[in-house]
Amino acid sequence: MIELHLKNISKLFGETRAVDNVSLEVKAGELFFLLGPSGCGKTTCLRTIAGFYQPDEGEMLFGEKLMNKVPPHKRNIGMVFQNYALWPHMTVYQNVEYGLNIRKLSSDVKKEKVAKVLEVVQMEKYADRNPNQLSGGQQQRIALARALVIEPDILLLDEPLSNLDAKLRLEMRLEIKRIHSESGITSVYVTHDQKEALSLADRMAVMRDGKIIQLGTPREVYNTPVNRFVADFIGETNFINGKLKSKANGHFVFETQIGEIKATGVNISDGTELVCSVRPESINVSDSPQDNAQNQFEAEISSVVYLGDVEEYWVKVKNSWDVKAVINNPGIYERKSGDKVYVQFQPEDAILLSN
Amino acid sequence: MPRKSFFGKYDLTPTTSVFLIILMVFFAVFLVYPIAYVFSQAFYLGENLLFNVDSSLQTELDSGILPEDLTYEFENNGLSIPSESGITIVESGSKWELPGEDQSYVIKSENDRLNVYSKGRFSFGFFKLMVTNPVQRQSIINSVVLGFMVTLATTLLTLPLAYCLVRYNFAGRSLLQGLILIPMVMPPFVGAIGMKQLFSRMGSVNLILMKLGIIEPINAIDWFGSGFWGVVFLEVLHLYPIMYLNIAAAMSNVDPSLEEAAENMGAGKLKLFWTVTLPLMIPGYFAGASVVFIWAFTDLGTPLIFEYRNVIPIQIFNMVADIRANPMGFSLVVVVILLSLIFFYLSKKFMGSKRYEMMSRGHVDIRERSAGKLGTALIYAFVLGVILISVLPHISVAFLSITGRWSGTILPETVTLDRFREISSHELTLPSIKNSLLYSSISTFVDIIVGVLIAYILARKLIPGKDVLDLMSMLPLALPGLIMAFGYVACFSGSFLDPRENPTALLVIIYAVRRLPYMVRSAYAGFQQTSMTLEEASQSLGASPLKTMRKITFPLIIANLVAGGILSFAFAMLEVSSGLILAMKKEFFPITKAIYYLFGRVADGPYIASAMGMLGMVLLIVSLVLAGRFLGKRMGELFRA
Repeated sequence: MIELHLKNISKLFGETRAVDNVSLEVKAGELFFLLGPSGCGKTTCLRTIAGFYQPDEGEMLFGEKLMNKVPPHKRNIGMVFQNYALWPHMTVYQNVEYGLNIRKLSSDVKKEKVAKVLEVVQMEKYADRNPNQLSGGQQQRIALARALVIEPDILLLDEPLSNLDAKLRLEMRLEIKRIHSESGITSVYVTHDQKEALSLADRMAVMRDGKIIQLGTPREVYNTPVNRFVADFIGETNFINGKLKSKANGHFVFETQIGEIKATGVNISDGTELVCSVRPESINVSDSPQDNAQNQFEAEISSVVYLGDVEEYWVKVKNSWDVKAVINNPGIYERKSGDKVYVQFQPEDAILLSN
Repeated sequence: MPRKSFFGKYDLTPTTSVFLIILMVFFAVFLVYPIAYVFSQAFYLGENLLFNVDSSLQTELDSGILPEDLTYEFENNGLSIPSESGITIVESGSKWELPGEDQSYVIKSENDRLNVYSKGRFSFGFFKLMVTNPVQRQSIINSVVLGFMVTLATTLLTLPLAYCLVRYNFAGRSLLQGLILIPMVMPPFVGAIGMKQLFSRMGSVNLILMKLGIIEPINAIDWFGSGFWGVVFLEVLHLYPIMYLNIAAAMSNVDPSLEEAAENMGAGKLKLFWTVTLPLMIPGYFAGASVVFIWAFTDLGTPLIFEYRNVIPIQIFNMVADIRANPMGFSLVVVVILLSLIFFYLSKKFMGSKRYEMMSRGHVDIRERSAGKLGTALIYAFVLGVILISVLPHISVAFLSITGRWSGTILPETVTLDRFREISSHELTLPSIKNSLLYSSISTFVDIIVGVLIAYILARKLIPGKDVLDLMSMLPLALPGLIMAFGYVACFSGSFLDPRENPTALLVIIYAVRRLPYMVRSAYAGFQQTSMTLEEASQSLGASPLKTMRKITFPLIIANLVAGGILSFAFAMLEVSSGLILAMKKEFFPITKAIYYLFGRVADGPYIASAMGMLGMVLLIVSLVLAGRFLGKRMGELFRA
């Protein structure tokens, strides 16, 4: 187990700073996520760790060792590619065995290791198949096995689930979690899917334009985003613009088009333009006004989307703010568009962010 | 991959840089320089003989002072020169120069006379001559008309052919698609030998017609007349497969949903073809058409056999002999280069960037319908008819090669293997086969190495001047063998590469350069189809770049390399014009020149040439079948401009 340090790493393509002054530390055995929209530099960052790119600035260390100039084949890294990159001219077994051949292990050891790793990914029956005879999920497992079998110092995963269908993706998510906790390899996982990141990550970095915007555990990032971009990217949310009216002992009053909102501020600094974010699941919808509610507004339902486990409402608050609310256990209500309702949310769920 | 960046964003490792520099020097010497040289000569009015004088003055000239008698001699010739005596004569080599006021002169001693020349200068004279001289003018017109006729005829023949074979599904379709390619296995000038036999005044065709009572012996039909139609006929039969491969590929690449959309809006079949399918096919069609046009426009062998002499290629061929004395050849070559480049450019422009995209797009659903019984029968009749006509030359060559005498009868009278026995003992046969094999295999070997490296750099590396590299490796497609061979003779005569002494090096180079585009293309396609992550996966598992190349990349593109190599080899064996021009001594003749040479023999020329032709044909069939095995459907992509 080894930790990974990136110190002020930058990678330039011509004038573009694809990775811009990124510093982070992945602890030994950690499953670390790089999350961001496409083009944010997360894949470039991963490929720099793999050695396919050399950083133009900064230092990269595996443990204590400076890795900047080490070519990819001398890094002892396992990488899982977005398209799996299984060699079509080799069988599953040969694909997995390849890295061991390079390491010149004895054939007994190789056999044992391949068998073991195929068992880990539950693909022992498919050793003699060709990769193109496998389904996407199976190819994924082989790609993972191929990366794991060499017992890499660091495991890199580049959007490994993006080519799978939704159901398989959920299944493989659990698999990766299981395999990671069994192997305990320091891992860096790149994705644009926030659910993947929230559900799997020990810690994560949210990236935009080559920079890290926020670093933290999934809970920290979800509950206390540093700015509007992060709040918007991680999960769904409703925004409303306004002005800060007063602030006293952590209690903020935010003046908006629908009136005053009692809100919480965590990551705000004075003088910046602010926006208030309220997550759909923290909005309560009721038919009549509730007593003691802090932020309570009249609203009208514009549309209803029934999803079985939950129901999504689009409501118009005070005829001016379109808000999405998600209601659990929707079977007991039968609301329809045009219904007059009340919405409430707690001050701690109304987060003030810099815009 | 370890990328040691020398210039920021570029991947220039020392190895890559050295390779690129060597490559660029090679292209500069063997591609750009000959063309540039030809251009410079074409616009250069050479030294012009003004008058000559007796050379008894030689000794005085050596002293460096213009003797007074010389002036006298000049005056006797009725010409004026700088008249004041005592002009310094500048000696340079075997020449003496008289610097004048506005014009300088060159004096050379030849035999017992001193020749005085006006010095060479820039001029459009020879281009003017092409228009004013009726012979030159006619040869240009003839060649252009020939090129267009051949292109038009192949188009008209190929469009319905491709439509039948691409859009209809029937039993044995892939067999027919394969048979279509047969005519490519023989250079048309060999076929021409056979066709002359079949269509001569007392040839088989006329004899059959006489037997049927359609014509009388007295007015036997002169089929090919001046030879023009013979040349067109032969070239069409040879070139329609190239056109077919392009049109068929273009047709099957037309996105079916685009056609369905048009049908959806009520377009009928003909309207659909005219408004949607055809416009979408134009780039592919143009790519094929430009190859066909340039090919027909610059074919040397076929007109030679048919003695249709007043065409540009033969004019150029004839001028190789006195390349120093008559600069007209250079100007004709410039015309051909310009025309070829225009066509090459247009076809590139039409194809745009779509070409590679199509290559890598993989399977496109082809709209095809079942032909039905009647349809199948009609298609078979049509396609087999075309194939039958197109193998006529081959059959007639085969007949010629196995007979002792064929004259005045429909079929050969006697069957004999004497011809083969004869060529096996002929002094030209074995050396020429050996030469062809030697030139072709060395050039193919060079092509594979260089082609793969170029393709790798184009596909995988970021280098400065990538476009130049791409252009250079594709340029030979636009440069007919005739032109390059002419340029080589002009440039390298007198150097250590002099083709008059030993053309081996130049022949290998010209074969290699001319086939390089095919090799680069097939290797490039291989790299394109091989995702880079496959290589990266190998490296991340600890394999060095070299090991990765050996274990992953190479096995994945081997089929492309083999196919490209076989094609390069086969077409090098087929080279006609460069061999005819560059191989001047018998001991260096390749097969094609040996065939041409043997054809000229009195009495048994056609027979023995045919026997040689048969040998070449067998060699080629074997190579092409092998290439087809490896390349399958992608064969067509190699025959585009």
